[in-house]
Amino acid sequence: MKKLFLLMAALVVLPIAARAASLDEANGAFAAGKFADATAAYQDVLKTNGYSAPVLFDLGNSYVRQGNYPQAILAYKRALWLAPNDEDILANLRTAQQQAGTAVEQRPALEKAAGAMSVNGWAWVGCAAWTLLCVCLFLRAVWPARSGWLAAGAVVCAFVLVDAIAAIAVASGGLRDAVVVDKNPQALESPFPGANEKAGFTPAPGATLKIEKAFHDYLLVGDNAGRTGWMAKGQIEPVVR
Amino acid sequence: MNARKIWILGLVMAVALAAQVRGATVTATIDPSDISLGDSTQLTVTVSGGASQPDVPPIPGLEIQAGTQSTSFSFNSNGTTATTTSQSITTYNVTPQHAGTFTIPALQSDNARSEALTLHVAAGPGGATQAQQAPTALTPPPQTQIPLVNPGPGPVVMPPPQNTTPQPPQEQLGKYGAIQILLPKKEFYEGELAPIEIKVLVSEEVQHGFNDLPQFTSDGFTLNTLSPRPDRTIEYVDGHPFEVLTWHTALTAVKPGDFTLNITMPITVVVPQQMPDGNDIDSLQRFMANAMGAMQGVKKEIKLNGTSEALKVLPLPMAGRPANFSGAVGLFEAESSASPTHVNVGDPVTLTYSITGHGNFDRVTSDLLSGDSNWKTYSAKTKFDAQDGVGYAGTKTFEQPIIPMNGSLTQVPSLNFSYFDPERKQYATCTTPPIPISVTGAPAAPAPPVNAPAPSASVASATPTPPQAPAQTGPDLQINRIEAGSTVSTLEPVYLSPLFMAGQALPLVALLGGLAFLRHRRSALAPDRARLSAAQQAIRQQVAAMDAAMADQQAGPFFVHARNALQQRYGRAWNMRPEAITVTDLDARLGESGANARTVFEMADQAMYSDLNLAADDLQQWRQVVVSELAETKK
Repeated sequence: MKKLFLLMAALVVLPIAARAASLDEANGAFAAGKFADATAAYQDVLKTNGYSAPVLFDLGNSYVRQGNYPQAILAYKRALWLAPNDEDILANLRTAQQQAGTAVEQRPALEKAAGAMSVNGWAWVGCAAWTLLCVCLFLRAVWPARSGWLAAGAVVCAFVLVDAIAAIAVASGGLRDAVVVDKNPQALESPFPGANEKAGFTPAPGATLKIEKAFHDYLLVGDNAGRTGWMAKGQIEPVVR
Repeated sequence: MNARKIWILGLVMAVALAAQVRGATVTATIDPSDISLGDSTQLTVTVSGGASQPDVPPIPGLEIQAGTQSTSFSFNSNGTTATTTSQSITTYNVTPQHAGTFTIPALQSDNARSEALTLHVAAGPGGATQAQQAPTALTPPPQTQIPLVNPGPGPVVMPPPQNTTPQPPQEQLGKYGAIQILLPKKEFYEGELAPIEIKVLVSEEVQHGFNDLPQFTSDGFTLNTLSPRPDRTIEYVDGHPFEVLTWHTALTAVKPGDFTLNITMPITVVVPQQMPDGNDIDSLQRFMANAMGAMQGVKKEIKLNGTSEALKVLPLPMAGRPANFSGAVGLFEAESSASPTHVNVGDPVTLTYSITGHGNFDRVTSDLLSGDSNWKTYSAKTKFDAQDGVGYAGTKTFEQPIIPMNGSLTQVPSLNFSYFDPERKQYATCTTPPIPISVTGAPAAPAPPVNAPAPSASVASATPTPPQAPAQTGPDLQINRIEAGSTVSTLEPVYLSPLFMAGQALPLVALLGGLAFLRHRRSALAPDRARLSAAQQAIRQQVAAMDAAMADQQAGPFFVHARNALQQRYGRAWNMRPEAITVTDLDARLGESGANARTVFEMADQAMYSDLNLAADDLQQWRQVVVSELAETKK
């Protein structure tokens, strides 16, 4: 029993220790100006421990230091997906977009409000509100004498639930976002290069596009100007994958 | 083995020994035979063949002390004859009083005689060294006296415990041994950590075993954990060998006052069974019986006790106590370093702060740069490297990630650490010098073409001889994060997970199930409720009919309605059909308390067969009785 407990404790503690050591190494390489090493180390941290906004943010910084702004934008966008209203991430994203020469995105008020927490955060808040709403409705049937309070509770829960759903709906627009990471990107009019190689439009590296649909190795993408075209999957990276 | 067998064995051995006396030999050796004044040597006298041990005569200029004595027997048998041999070896510790050549005369025992021996004692070094002596030298090893380290500036050295209690003389050792407590001093300050040496001496002349670790009691001190594996050595006290267990540990003074340390050590000794003295047995028989008794000795649990001299614990003075004093008592030195020293604004720097010395390191703490608005600081990692086995001396290292927040910084500030120096009896503060650092912070650069080389940033260091900062390779960025934060395995939102969506159906299912249960439960209760309501309605109708009959002065209908009302009430209460309730039921269920109801029932029966006339007042009284009965039954 004791051995089992020690084993379980080790399984819990060791990954945490490993994560701390890896992030320290990555930051050490960054501080020493070894940005390529730092990038590899941050990617290793993400691969080992999963996505986290701070590590994605640091990864974006390391890409900026190397002048790889498209990848930096992608990393910042992913960090923002997890921490939507993080001012540091937004600031560095704007900086990277300026450096890349792409449009600096302005966030509408609704998107800012929805960014009070991450999509997952809203999902869990909505889940809790939905559960409490059901509890209130049931208790109201059990204790009709307290139906007033319970009805008020149910209304509050319903309000929170609607807010959560609305926030998720707003934030879910980012599910289709993708960043152009190729240095010479080209959106074609057709996903059949052999049949039609006419360029639809040429997005800027680092530009953020919307993915409309996929066909084999091509993605139909569109920009804010309403232009659409087919891009090879290697030229563009979805923010959420 | 019973007594008879012992006697038979003793007899056989006695006969054999007597036979061996004629072939007795005595041998004497001294090793080394060349020594320096101040050294000792060992004289060994071996007697075989049953002869008694010879006496060593006093020799002017030599101090001779008897040491260990051992006797061995061996029996050899080839099936037809048996031979017995015995050998007795006695060792003496010989210490010369002056230089010169000494002669130890031949030693004689019975018919045997040894050779004379010569000992050469040199005036100075040059003779045999102590290391060349036999490993079981009889002289007590000289007590190591390590002076206290002068707590002045310079490298810190741990002051080892000093024996404030001299080696216990034989009379203080007790029958089986003693406990010694060695402390560096007798006066401590509250919170002070001090090394302590605990020595448990147990006579090697007694067969013994150790049952447990020493147990420590003191009101003013706490003791660190004792190792289950102490140092084990053999020491000699007044020529007697002792097994010595030594624990090197530390104790902490916890409160002011006068205290002693008490240590108890449980041990097991084997007590030989002694043959009683008497004239009926001779010395050989007693010797044999004692030898057998020693082999069969009785185990006895005893406790050795040791108490230190009176110790004083002083309170830490309030006067001159620095604001950042954290309770550290001892002698410490501090140094700091930073790496790297050429950074951009927002880049992490590791500040290393080391405190070296001796004392209570558990109270050695530092806030480092926390609270300095020029630096973004993170929680520090702490590491302690002990230089000894008890955590008294060593180095405590703090590593704090810090991030310069602006490009005007030229140095990492100095750090202060305060402690109480118990030797100087005053507070002291270590201050590290500032660490020069070059921080490069450039204003946001205009957007260059994609992947174009970024402009270098200006060096903002204002130190007289600033180190050159490396060229900046990009625009200003918000600083890196040090902590990884919470992680997710995928960026896909959780609400796309089928499991999550299925989970949302659970509250709805639970709600619908709960409501269905409530509905079912209420419908199950409905018939009972309907019956109650009907009974109450019928009672109200019967009471109204009673009132109408009373108003018409008709006693017969009055009692009939009264009985009907009571039947409704009892029928509800007893779960019976109301019209089936009779006087017999009243008697059975109500007994004497149903007298009024019984009268009403009887009056109603009488009214059915004959005229019944009662005055209006009587009817009014009966009405009250019936209403009271209805109310009583309702309760």
